[in-house]
Amino acid sequence: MKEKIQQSIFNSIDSLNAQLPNEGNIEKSNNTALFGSGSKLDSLDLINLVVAVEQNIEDEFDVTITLADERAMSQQTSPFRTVGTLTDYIEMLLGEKLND
Amino acid sequence: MIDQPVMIITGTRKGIGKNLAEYYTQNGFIVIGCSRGNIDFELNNYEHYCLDVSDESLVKKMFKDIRKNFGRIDVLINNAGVNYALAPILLVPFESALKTVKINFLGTFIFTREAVKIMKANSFGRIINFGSMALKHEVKGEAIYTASKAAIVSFTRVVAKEVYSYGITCNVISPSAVDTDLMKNINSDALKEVLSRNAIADVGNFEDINNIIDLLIKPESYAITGQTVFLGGV
Repeated sequence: MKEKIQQSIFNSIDSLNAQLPNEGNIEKSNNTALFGSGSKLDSLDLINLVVAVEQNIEDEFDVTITLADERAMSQQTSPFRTVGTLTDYIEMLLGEKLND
Repeated sequence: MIDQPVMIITGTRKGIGKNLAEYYTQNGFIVIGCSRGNIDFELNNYEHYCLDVSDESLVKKMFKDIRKNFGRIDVLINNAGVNYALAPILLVPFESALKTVKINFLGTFIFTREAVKIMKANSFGRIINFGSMALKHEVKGEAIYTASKAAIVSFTRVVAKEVYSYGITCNVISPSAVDTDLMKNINSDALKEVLSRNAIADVGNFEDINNIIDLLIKPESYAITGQTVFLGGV
């Protein structure tokens, strides 16, 4: 499941990169920072990425999830920090949904 | 993505929402409507979902279907509205206030959030939210209802700024009283008195509402956003 989630995030990064100038290209790796220090994304880029990831996850797993949910917004360490932390967070959300 | 424009209307089982569904299916739109109860009508180019507009999980599933089946949303009309708290506030149960705010305001929020996610991909969208003439008349006994509509106006003004760069506008229309079920619980003398404060002292009609929505959803109306349009000379 983890690889499929990561691939959905990478596909979303591809869509975002297509809209960014070359120097703003976001690297597709687990350590890529998405939020906070080291991130190349501005707030609008992050919104666009989060929406694209939600839609790609919906298409891939046929379930609806809300990434910016209360837990994500209240965590001391944001799940949006890196591609890796976002992958883990989505894996947890999907685990809950698919076991419902 | 299909060629035909897609419109979502909440609260289509009866009243203004049903009229809008009939009008816009006859005018080139695929209309997707919803209501808590079942509908007793059928229309070409119309799909219906039975759901509570404040049920986030069901609403998200509806939008997932729409994205998959149509790939676009051109217009969202947040029409669903209730008034469970028609009484002086000293007599309003908390649950009635909560239900009113959830359906009127939070339903509008959830539908707007989900619609914008799809509209932005096509760089076009028109969102129409429903206010009320109660916003200006501040009628006794309607504190919760009026506050829920005031929240919609503030919400609309902020959202208009957040989504304009995506080609999306967001406005409020505040019809005069229209003869629907929502009006049944209002004392007729009180209604008459409130209407007498308007330039047009008669109840409004569905055509007035269709007319203003026609204007606001035109591509040429891109510069009209964050506004509240009152009908009936309020």
